[in-house]
Amino acid sequence: MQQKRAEKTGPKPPKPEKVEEVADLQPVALGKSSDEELMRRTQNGDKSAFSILYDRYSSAVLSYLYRMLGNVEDVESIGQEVFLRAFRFAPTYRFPQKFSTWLFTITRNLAINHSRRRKRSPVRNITELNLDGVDISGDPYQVASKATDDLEKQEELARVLKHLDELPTDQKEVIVLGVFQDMSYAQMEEITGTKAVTLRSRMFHGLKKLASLVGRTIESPKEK
Amino acid sequence: MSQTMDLESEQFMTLLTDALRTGPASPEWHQAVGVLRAAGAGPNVDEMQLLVRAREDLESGREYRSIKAGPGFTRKVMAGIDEEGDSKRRGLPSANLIALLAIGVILAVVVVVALNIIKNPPDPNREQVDKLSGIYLVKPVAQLDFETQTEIPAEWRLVGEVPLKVNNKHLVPSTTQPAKDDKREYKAGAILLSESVAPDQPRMIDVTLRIKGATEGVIPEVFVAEGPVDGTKASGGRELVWLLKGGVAQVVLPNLSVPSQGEKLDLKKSPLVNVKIRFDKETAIVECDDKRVYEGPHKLSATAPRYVGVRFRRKTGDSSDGVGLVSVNVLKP
Repeated sequence: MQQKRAEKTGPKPPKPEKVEEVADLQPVALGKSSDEELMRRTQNGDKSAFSILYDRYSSAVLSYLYRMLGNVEDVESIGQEVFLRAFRFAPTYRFPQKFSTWLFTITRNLAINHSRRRKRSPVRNITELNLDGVDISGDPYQVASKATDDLEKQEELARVLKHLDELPTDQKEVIVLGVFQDMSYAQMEEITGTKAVTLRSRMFHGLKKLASLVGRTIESPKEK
Repeated sequence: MSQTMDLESEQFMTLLTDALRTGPASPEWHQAVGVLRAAGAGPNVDEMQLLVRAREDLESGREYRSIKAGPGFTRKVMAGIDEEGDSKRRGLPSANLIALLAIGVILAVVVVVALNIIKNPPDPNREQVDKLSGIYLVKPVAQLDFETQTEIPAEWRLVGEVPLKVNNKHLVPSTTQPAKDDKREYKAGAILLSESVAPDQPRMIDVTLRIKGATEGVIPEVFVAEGPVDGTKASGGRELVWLLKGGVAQVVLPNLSVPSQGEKLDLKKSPLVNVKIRFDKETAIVECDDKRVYEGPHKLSATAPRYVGVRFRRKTGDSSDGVGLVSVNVLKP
């Protein structure tokens, strides 16, 4: 993960050149193909290419929805719609935009529309997300106890995670996208339509609110 | 690496917000922590140290609310994908059968099409509407959500004689008093996107209003104006408009014609009303609460830039407070 992050946060890559259309798609190991290559195949009707994209991103999409919406029923109905729409509207995907940015734009807009509709007529769907013992880590204390054995630290960690849910939506979203989904500010700008300087401000103020819950007495910072 | 940097400088704020996003073990994190160490002690430093600690807590809790799809969910998604794929391209049995069927189908289609063309000339409007429907307008151009925002950013502007203000998570029109020698029954105030839309660009304006009961005291309107919007009258002359008056929703075209009778909304069922106007160079689709209320030529100029927004026409002296704007989004492909 460190290497992945180091790669992501290294010097800015040059702007990708316009990719030429490939007339003859040779069989390759799909699992090793880039997201963008898999989308090209999907645009040519290759469902197995899209199923690999689904495998890669289903957890990220569902986790984003769960963190933003907070209930599993909504996550199921919107999650399905995200991937159906991504497949249906695959022809509208344009290179060289990152696939994850495109997919999360769809996800976010569906979540926003669903929230509005839900206020008017709440809908309950039966969930199939937690069949067969799949773990849904919605309990902050459970997550904290897995992260550390130190009881005081567990308490602090659980407090911070619990209050993440109580942040204003715009601050929570930046933290969810930037911290949990590893999106850059440039990607978040594209997804949300909000300028990066505003997103940075929301990140700072959101973390500041969570920081107010960290250690009620101010201690000397410990060297790590 | 440690270096000195003013903790209140923009340079440090950029470094810090980069570090808070990328987290522990990233180069930005090491650099930011190094700057804090070099800064020594002080209230600013203590505050930043708590920020760092909160971020470390989030890193430890990365699994919080993570979720994986169960096999049932995946089956449902894949079944949906298969259906989409099959509807695009049906599997065919064999080459011979295909050939025979193809000849028969081609002949039949040619005959049917010829007869249809003779009886019913093609409807170019239908084609334009279908083309506009197929454009996936998903990228945000500008968004406003008064449930979370109280300030109006620079990409939006307020115009008109009726001041609009943010109150209780809505943008609402203020009450106006009749002025001497001004016999107008209604005055208007609007919020619109400052940047115009080129006439050949498809866009959608997606608006959510809160309406507490049928009223004629305040008439909310969602509009696409041809050309600049007058700062006093809050209107752009020729416009495509959706409006709600006395509980009845209507669409009005730029030539002031009303294509249909209008529909009474059931505001008791829900006070939230969603309006979407999707448009391109020549065609518009207007939907109210996901129901299509107009589709066809919008009759706006094909060359003039367009301005989109939401307007409130308020009856002079009316003080009702049942109408407000909850959110507005402008989207592009």
